[in-house]
Amino acid sequence: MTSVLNVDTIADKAGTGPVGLTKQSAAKAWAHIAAGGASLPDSFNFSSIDDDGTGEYGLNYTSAMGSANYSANGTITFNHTSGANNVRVVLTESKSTSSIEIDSGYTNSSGVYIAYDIETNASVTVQGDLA
Amino acid sequence: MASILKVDTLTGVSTAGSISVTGEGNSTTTNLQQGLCKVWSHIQGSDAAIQDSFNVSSSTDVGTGRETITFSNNMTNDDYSGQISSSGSGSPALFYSRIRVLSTSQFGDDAVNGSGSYTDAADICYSINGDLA
Repeated sequence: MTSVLNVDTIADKAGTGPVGLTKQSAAKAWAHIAAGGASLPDSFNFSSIDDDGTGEYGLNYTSAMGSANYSANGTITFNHTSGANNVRVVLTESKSTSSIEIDSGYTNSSGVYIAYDIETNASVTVQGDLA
Repeated sequence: MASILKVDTLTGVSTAGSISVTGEGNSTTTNLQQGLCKVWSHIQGSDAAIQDSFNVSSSTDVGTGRETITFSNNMTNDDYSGQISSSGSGSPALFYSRIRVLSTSQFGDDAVNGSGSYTDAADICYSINGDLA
C-alpha cells in the first residue's frame, strides 16, 4: 500500500533538530545570476546580490551557514563560439557564514586573468550545514 | 531511541510542494523541495552516453565537445542554477566546461580547451537546482 504523509514541517523527535534524509543531502542555497550580475531572476536562501565592481559580486544568505567550510560551485553561460578571450570562468573569491563572494572573468592570450562582468548568466550552488 | 518514519510520499499540507525541515545548527529551517537536486547526470564526453542520471530522458552528442541532455520532467523556467564539472586533458592544458543550453527542457555544455576550441571531455557531470514545472 502506498503511504502519503501530509506535513508542513519535519524536525527530529525532540522537535528542534534536523532529520536525516537517508543517503541524501539537500542544497542550502542556489542562485541564477543575470547578465551584469545586478539581479537574481531566481534563487534559494539568498536575500540579495551586491555588485562590488567589474566581475565581482557578493551573494548574501537569508539563513546563515554554520561555518565557512561549505562547498560552493559556479558555472557560467557563455555564447561565444570562438575568438580571443574565450575562456570565461566563475571563481569563488571568499566564503563566510553570511555571504559568498564570486568573481567572473576570462584569461587572455597570455594566460592572465581579467575581471569581466557576467555576459549572459551564471549559476551558483551551495552545499553544507546551516547555522 | 532513534525513530524512523517510513513513507513513500511527502506532501505539504498548507502548500503541497513546500515542506520545511530544521537546519543542521538547530536554529533555522530550510525548504526541503528548494534544496533537492532536480536533475543530475554523468555522461561520456566522447558520445554523450549516459552512465547514470536522474530526471534525464536522453542525451545528444551535438558535436565535438558539445552535449545536451533532455529532462524527463521539465523545469518551470530557465532561471535555475545549473552546474557542470568535466574531466579532460585538452591542449593547451587549461580545460573547462561552460553552459551552452539552459532551457526548461534541456541543459547542455561546451567543453573547451585553453585556445577556446571545442574538445571532448572524458566525463561530464551536470546538476540542476531550481523549480520543477
